[in-house]
Amino acid sequence: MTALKEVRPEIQAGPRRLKVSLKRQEAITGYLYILPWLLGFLAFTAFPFLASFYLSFTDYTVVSQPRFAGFANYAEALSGDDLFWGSLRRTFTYAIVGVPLGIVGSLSCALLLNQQLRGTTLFRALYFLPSLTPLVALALLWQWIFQPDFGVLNFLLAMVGIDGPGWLSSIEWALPSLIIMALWTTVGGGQMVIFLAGLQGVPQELYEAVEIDGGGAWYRFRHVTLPMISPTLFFNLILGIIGALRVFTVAYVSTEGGPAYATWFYILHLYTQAFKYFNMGYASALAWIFFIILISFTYLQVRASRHWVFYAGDTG
Amino acid sequence: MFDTRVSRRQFMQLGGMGLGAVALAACVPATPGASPLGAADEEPVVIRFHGRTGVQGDHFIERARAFEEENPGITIKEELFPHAEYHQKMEVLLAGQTMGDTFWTVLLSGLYHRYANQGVLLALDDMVAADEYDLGVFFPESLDAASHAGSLYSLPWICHPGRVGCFYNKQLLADNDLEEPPEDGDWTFENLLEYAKVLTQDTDGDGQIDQFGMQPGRDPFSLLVWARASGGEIYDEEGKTSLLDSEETLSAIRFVYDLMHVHNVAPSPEQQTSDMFVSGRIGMVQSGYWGQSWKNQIGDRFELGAAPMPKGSTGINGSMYEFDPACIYSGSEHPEEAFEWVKWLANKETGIRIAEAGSVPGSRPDVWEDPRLTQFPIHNVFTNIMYNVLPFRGPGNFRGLEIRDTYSNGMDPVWLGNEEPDNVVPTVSAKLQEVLDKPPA
Amino acid sequence: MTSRRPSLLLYLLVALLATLFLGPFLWTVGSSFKHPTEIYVFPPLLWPQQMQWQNWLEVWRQVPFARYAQNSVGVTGMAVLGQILSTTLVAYGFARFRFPGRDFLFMVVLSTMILPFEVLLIPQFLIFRELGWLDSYKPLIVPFFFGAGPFFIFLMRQFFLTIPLDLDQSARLDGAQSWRILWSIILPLSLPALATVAIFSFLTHWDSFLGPLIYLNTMEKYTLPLGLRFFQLVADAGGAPREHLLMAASLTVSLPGIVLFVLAQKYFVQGIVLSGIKG
Repeated sequence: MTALKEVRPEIQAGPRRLKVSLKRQEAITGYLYILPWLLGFLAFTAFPFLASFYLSFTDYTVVSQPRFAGFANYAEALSGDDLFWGSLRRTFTYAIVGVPLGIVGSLSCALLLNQQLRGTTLFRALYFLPSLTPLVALALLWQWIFQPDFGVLNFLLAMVGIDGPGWLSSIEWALPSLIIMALWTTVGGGQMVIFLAGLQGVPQELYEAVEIDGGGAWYRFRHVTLPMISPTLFFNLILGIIGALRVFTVAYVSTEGGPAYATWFYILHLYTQAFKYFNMGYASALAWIFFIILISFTYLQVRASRHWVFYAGDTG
Repeated sequence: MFDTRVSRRQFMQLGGMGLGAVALAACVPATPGASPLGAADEEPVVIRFHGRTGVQGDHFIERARAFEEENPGITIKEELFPHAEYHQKMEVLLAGQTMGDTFWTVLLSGLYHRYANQGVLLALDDMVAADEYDLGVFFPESLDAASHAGSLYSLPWICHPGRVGCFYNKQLLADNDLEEPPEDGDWTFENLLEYAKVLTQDTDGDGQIDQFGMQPGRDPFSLLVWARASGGEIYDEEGKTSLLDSEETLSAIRFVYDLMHVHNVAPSPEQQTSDMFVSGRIGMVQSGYWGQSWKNQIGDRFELGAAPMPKGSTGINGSMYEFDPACIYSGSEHPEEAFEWVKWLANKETGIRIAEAGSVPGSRPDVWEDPRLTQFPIHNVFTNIMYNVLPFRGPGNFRGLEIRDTYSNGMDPVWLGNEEPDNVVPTVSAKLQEVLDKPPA
Repeated sequence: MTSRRPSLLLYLLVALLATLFLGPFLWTVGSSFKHPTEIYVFPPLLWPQQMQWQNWLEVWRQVPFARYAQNSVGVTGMAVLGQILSTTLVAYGFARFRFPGRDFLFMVVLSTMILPFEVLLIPQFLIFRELGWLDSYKPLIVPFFFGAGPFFIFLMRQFFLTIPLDLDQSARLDGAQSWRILWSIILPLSLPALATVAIFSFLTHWDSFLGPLIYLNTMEKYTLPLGLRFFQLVADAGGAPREHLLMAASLTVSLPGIVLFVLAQKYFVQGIVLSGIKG
């Protein structure tokens, strides 16, 4: 804590009271800066948002005109559709297992690569490679790794005497397989790079201060690194959860939701309804239900973050 | 605001009110629905065509150039999209009414008949009559499959008799003193089982089977071949009632299940990998006409053979006529020129070229009998099946993709050996019935 | 200073992880040099018996890859430029100024990341149709000059928030002055963030598949991710295998990303030396 106390006074020495005119000036300047986004949002996003909201109350097969259907789509999702709750449950399972593993994995990699070891530049690039592999190649690649018979994974397992499962083609193992697949692609990718950048922002003198106090490695991590990178951690967490709950691609390219719906995730269900079963109205309702779940989730996280995320430059 | 019927244009306006007006003012508005072609007055008519990328896409490009040489007044603008997202793209184009003049689509997914039913396709009857175009050149089954509510909505580009091929590894058969299965398909499920038993071996003696006898297909259309040979069907003629749990179909499912989990002569999906046959670890495999392309991956490891899938209790070989249609968009401004191109895709030379490229031949006996194709022995096996092919049958509400997902995921526990067919099939059949009971897509 | 023993352990750990990441990737490389008959063999081959160098050339011959690469460079370049410009401004606005509705608007930014875009596809398509932008690169570029990409706004805002306030005091300045602060103090301090945004933005647009798929029709206008699909085999369409070409093409497409990553590394791992500024 010593380290933090050192910086805090400066941070809190922000503006005390502002005159009204100054406040207005600040507001106008602020609006000017976000204007590009505001215009873009109104032009390209607001209408699709409204349209999809309207469509969620219609019967719309794309080829024909939308027909108003009241709350029928919502009722169907919540009570009629066998796959709705199942896909939601699977999606949350995926996120609950995948997100912590991903965050811990990425952060560990970032910490490792931040140790000023020789050859770090090379290692960083190697870690990043998987996330650069195009999707179509990825699908083939994992098919080969997960091959039940003589795939690499089961080959390695056999060397230590384990009879490996059927992975992607097994009802029990398909979901874990996709988590492994996603971790391989993402652990050394974007999340790690963001952590790395965050770690670079931790001022050296804070570590030095702790060193003088005699804090060990864990103490340094817990009391300097973690608070200082909490904004990036917060970012990765929010994005990680949104990303995990939106899981689609890995299943889309490798299992198509099977076997026996074992990897039939929520967005896959939505996509299938929209573009394979031509229930665009229903898919829109699914989208809005998902939206409501996730936005409340995100809002809670943003609220909670005030207690653990530390911003050196917070304007309050 | 929430009227019961709101057109796309209306809710464009709804959204347009006050939204984005500022940012968009600077941008040049264009006429809606116009195809982005920019054809000048004297230039040839441009016909847009949608197909999928890959082997077929390359073929379309080649045929388009050949067409243009013979028809200097028409230019074909091929717009090829990736296979996996092809139909997603079609939906978007349809929603925006920016569909090309002509396009390729598929039969099994129900999309072709859905489009016909929704008025997306141009009925060709008048043009066929005016042109005195001879429909007799095609296999008669194609005209049945291409018709919807009494009108013809396409000409067939390619066709085949379904997943009717039992492809085999000649080397493995010879090594085990097995005669090659009869080219005329005169063999039975029991014969096949015996073959499979002989071919199933533990070659390295580690106590685990590493060479299997037979790999059946897992999709509903592969099962249909077994089912039809046993007198069964997946659904009735109108495509309204599920027949998956009928005794005939169930017996076929039991046979395939037994191959995997009773006799252990077929790899269960959990053991099976796409490369087992090609790498020489499986004796026989069920596939369609396109299975011939495996020879490129096999190289000189072994010689590829094929026979019809065996006869079931009915004494017939199972099959189903399938074709890929070439359609004209009902909103096309150049239907005459589009028809010229569609005819070109249905002509004899196109039908031969696509087979030579490694895909499937055109839907005409004169294509299948052409010496350029009859030089391949496996082709001739399929030709024989074509002459006795059983008709196409699709879901009455065109929800073929939904049927397929429901079937596949529902049957997985059976093929994986988690459940016995008799416990699961009635449930899956009920689920299929739920889909069939839905209104037309 | 750290002692010698843990550092050796660290090396081992780093190398082990590198192997995990590199191993499967090597298979992609190996396969790109294989003969089609070597793709499916038993036991599997990691490396071809004879290197088929021509696979890498064949990629450019079978598909107008050079053309697609050119298109990709153009679209990506423009989109990244727009993204960096607009993201910086917007994130600065959200991070440094107080104005009514700021937190609500920021939630709106986040919410655009959450509503599944699958259902926005068709309405969005209709907008671009009305604008006459179909089959052009405008839908793939213009929105990014207007702050499209909530991920980047969020990311940049997070970085700006970590820069201590007393360094700029921009909130108390008028528009022109705040602009100077952004330019001369904030941005130089944000090089790691900018490099991160640039890399991610590049990769996002370089690999973008859905946008080009939906908005482009004319094949001469296709970008590389669409071109890659030409090498994908359709199970029941038959034809000569293309997996080896797909692998070579995939690697070709990912090469610029790798190069850029290596080049940009020194920026995003460059520490901010706060002490010098604090004085």
